[in-house]
Amino acid sequence: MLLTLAWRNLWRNKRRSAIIIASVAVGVIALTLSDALSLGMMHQMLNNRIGAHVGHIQIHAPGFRANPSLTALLTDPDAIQTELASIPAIRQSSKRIVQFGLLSSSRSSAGVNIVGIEPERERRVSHIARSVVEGHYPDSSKGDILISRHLARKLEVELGDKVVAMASARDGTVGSEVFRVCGLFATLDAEFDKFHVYASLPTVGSMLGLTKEASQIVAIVDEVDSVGAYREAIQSQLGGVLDVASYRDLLPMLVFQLDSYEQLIWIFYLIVGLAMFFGIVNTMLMAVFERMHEFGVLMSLGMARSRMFALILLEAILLGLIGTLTGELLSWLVSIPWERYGLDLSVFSEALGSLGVGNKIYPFIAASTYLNSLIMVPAFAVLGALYPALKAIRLRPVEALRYV
Amino acid sequence: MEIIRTVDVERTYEDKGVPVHAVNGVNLIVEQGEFSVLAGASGSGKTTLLNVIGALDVPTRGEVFLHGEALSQKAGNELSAIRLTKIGFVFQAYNLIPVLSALENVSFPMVLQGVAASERRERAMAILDELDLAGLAHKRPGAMSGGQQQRVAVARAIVTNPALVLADEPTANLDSVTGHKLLDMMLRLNEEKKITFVFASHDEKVIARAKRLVTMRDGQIINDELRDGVFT
Repeated sequence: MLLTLAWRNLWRNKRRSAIIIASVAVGVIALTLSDALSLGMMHQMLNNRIGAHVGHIQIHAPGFRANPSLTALLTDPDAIQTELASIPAIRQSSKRIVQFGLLSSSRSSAGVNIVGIEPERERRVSHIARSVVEGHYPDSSKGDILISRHLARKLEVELGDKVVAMASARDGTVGSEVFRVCGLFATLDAEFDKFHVYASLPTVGSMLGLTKEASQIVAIVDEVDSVGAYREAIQSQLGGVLDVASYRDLLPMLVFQLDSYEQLIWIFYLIVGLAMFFGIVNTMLMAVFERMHEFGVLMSLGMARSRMFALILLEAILLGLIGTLTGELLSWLVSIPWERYGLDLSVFSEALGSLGVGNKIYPFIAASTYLNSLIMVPAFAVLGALYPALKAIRLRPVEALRYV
Repeated sequence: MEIIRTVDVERTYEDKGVPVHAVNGVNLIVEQGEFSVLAGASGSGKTTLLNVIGALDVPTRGEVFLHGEALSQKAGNELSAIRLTKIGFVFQAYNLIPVLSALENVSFPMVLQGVAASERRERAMAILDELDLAGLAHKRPGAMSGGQQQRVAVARAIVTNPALVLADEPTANLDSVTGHKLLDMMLRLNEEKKITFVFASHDEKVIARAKRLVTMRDGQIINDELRDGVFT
């Protein structure tokens, strides 16, 4: 009956309860949706980087990541790929040659990462093929080069124009090759686009004086969440000599940002919680003081102070719970179209492009967000009710009965 | 059997820095089965004495014994337990819990006692039925007249079979006819169930029905008159 009493007490002043429930709900909506937007944005940043180039796992010769040059190469990448093919969790792999060089047109030049790819296999480890916006993706034929639309503007070239790539070859000479721009790409990451060009692996290899060597092998796994375990398994299968890195090792800043966000969100909880805390203190103070006489009656009936204390806290918990559930329900309703169609933020396209996010954010509400709100908000409600509850139970029955 | 004994009880309040002796050296014994009235003008100390007897207030000096146990020795939760099990209260303003129905109000003390739901309902309905209130069982106080509310308050006070029912001006908010009916009912409960009633009242109707009339003035008992001989 304590719960019944608390519930009915809540609706004695419907307007007041509705106002505090609404304010809790608004706080929860703000918290949930901003969390959903931030999480969506950060996951997009991460997924875009993974999809554009990084993949889930990369294998390099030791020292390549510290000094990405032709001094640290995988000498037998085909053998490694054969090993990888025997691991069921590896969905696909592709080898690349990566060398920093200069790409020049007749009008301008730019420093770029020249990436030699296996065109067909690359399609399955990155979405660069799907990012072609003009022309076509390079095939294995010699002479095709895919550059970004951004770089094309900088070099003042169009489809079909010739460009010259130059880079240090393995023997220390400068290797060069003439390419024809076969296609333009545009990923969601403007910074990435500025510095990457793609040509077939044999062409780039021959330009740099390589025979069968490669700079890296990129792999995609079945379960992204288990990438750490896969990394260990691959490392062990390959004999522990090679440098096997997951995207978490390759994108440490982004991963750190995502991980630290999960800590930072508690600051949001604290801010929203504090705002609700004062609202609930105010509401519960009013609710308690106007019923002080009634608390005197409850005490005269023999209600223990601890029970009365629990009754007041229960009312606050119910207020917090109803407000939280209402806020979560409304957030969920709002998030349905957002998650499906995305949130068009093209007015901020420049800033979002530099972050590697894209113009459309697909916010998503994690189950942990719902759960955290459901625990945190009623907890703040309880804190907010502590003072009024203590005020009520500190009075002697006769003082409470006389309270006006 | 002695239920209440007060020994030199004093209750002093501070009113704007001035001490007010609301109860001043009262010695009183209440035996089981009494139907007693503490009478006196406003400010005579009868309500304060009733509150002290009922463990709602603590005396500044002196001692109150309930069934021979000194209340001053009891902690707050023990006093709550005493109020819950041994004392029933009826107030001038009825003081039913507005969000509960008559049945729930009567059941409430049993909830606090931890009585099972089915037994609570059975006992509460039996009391309501006995006091001709069964028809009001599911009505909330707001939908009842003052007299009906006060009868429900009496039902709530006696449902736990307390040793003592303390009633503070129970007829003050009722019209004459309703007041008489309420007193009839309480007298019947006193005679049939041997429930001990102690009233604080200056209502002539209540005073006229008293089997023992204790008159107070300035916090002291000035007259203690037994009306119908030996208490049963």
